[in-house]
Amino acid sequence: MAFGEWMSESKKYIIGILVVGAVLAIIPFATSFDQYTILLLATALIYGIFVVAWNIIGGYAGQLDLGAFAYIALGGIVASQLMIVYGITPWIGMFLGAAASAGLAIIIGIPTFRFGIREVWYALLSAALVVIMNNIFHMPQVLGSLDHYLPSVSGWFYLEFPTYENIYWFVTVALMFVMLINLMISHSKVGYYLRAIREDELVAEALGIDVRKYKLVALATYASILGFMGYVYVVLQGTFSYHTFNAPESIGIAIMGIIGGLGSIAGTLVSGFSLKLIGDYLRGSLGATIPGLNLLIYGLLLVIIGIFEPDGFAGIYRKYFHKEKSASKVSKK
Amino acid sequence: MRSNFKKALSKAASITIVVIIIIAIAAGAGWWWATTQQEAIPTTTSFSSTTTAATKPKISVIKIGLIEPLTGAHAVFGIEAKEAAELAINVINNELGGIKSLGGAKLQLVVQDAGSTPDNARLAAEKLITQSHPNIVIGAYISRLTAAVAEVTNRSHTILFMDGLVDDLTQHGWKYVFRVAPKASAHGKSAVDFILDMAKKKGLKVKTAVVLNEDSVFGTYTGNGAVLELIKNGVKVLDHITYPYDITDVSSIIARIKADNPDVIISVPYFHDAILIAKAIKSEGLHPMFIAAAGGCGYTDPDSIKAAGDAVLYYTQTYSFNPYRHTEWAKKLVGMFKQKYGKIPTEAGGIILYTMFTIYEGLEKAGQMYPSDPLNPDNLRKVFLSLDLTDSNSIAAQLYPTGHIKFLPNGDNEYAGTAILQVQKINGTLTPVLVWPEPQPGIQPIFPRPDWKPSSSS
Repeated sequence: MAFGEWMSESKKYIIGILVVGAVLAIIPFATSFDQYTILLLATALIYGIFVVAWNIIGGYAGQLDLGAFAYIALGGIVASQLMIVYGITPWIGMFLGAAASAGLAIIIGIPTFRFGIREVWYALLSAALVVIMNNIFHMPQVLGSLDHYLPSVSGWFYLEFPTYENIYWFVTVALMFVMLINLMISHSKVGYYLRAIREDELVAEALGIDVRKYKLVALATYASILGFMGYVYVVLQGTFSYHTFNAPESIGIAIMGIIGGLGSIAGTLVSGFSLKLIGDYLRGSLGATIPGLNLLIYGLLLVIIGIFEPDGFAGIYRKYFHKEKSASKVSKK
Repeated sequence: MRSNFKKALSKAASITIVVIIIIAIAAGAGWWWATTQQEAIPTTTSFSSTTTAATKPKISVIKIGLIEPLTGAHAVFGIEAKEAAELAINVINNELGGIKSLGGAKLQLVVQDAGSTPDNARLAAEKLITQSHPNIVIGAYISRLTAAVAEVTNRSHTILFMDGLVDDLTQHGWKYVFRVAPKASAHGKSAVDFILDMAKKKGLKVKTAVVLNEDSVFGTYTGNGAVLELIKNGVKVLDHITYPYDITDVSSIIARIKADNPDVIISVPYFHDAILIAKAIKSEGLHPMFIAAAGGCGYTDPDSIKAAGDAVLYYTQTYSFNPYRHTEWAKKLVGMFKQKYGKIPTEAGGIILYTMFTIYEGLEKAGQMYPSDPLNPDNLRKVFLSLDLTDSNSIAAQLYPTGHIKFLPNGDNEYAGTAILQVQKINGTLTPVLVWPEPQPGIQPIFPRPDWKPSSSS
């Protein structure tokens, strides 16, 4: 493959990221600052970030991680507690939260990968991690049973606002960074190693790839992104408690990642964003008239995608993309 | 090749960073613009419906929002709440002719599903507020969902009636919140007060107690309420045990209680754990003076009686709603509920019934107190704070366990209290009956437990 083609491809992705960011940034104006719409979009975008981050461990490295909320909640709670107890701005707290989540990932990752735990066993272990964290934080010495509230303050210092557009823009910028990180991993040495590990771990090891190291890098990157975004998630919740370590939602992140298409940035973003958006929109519009109908429709949607497009949203995208590519080749001739 | 690629990427990355900075600056500028604009917006939007009406009020519909968990683990409560709200609104609109002081204005119910997480509840509240513009909102039973709703309603100056019982919900300085129902610690307090009252009547002395509660936020507040009331009344609390509500083996807890050998046991259960505890207490042969439970669910529910049988005989339980209250409207509405839905309203439905009628009384009074601007949230707040509802002057109080509703400045009911039901054997079948504060006709509370074996120490 020629170098020029590579460069044009990465450029194309970066332009894509910029376009996505610019479009997203304009939306609040288009809705004339309708607070419900902006909150709905912000919530969906955060899930977009979670799923794009999941793509690093689940998509590139091929580890079916079911522990997203262990890292989200830990990072969020660390940043929130730093603010509540020590008055530290979340701008610092979020990085410390990310560090805490990365630390947890490394503590969990070293023995896990050392003992070669993978595939379904890794899935089980990561799912158990959320439950374990939930129980640890439920202990009276940690958070106990009570709900903890963020102080009702507002301003950029606290990253809390009376309206939602600022947090929405913050999430948009964060999303662009996360997509960029994904892109850089995807096109770097690490990305190739991770894909090799995904395809066949034993062969990858035989080729001399330090499997444990690169899986750990993927896990820590994923965890630190989630930990960083944890505080924003807590802001949207208003409260945090041991319930924030939410096992079913963690599995939801992995489902969105799989539906999006393993290893596809665009696919996972579209999947996380749109599935969360559709889910919450259906709850808001149908949930009250026929309770549960929204969940039925949501479930059906997942089944339909699973049957007709096993590669997920990325498969749909690729089909369209390849068509266009071949068409452009024809026109060049 | 790779170094070239890296160079290209870093160039692209630097462009990205520049663009992000530009966007950030634009966002910041937008923020300044938005905040300076929005200083005025909340007041104008929330008052717009009322300021236009200031000269000549013509209100035909008053929107009542209801945000309840209709899906997920707590759906059973939310669905009953919705049923109760529909029934109450139907009665207010059709039998009582709407709000008479507002020209017969009808109430309109707008329902939203609070889902299962606070961000679901927040979205539901935001959708309700921005799209339906309700005058008053009710919600959301589970404390963390209620908190998320309260943040939204309080910011938009909308009155919220909370049916979440956790104490701290009225301690956040939210101005536009009210709660008719007794808070969690009041449940614990009631269970203790009942025991002490009965003991005094029977000439017995309660010296020691053990409190055990499931460790949810509700169970914790309820258990703490009981402990504080025991200490206040000079009863020695030998042990305060907490356990997860989904506990599967209670034998170690029962062994601890047996070793403590208390006069009374106060238990704050959920559902499943209540059955386990009752059965274990029976099989381990504990014979305390009394076993009382607090917190609205557990030993005296029909399902628990079915599952535990004789093991729950003589157990008492506190409730936020008293379906057996002997007042005209309590009998009438419970009868209507039973006819319509085939069951007696429990906690979740009962709270909504008296909350909805409190709102009804408040709106009637608002029409008299502020005829020019009755639905202004600040006026409504003053109206609700001025209410003093009793059995003789209101429907709402007739539905309430203590028969008295008067709000404190933080939004809690000054006369909040619970009813206590006891499982008794009536004509050979185990039946929950009302025993406190006023027993239902033909019923006497059974105290102490007939199988009580006074220990040598007491």
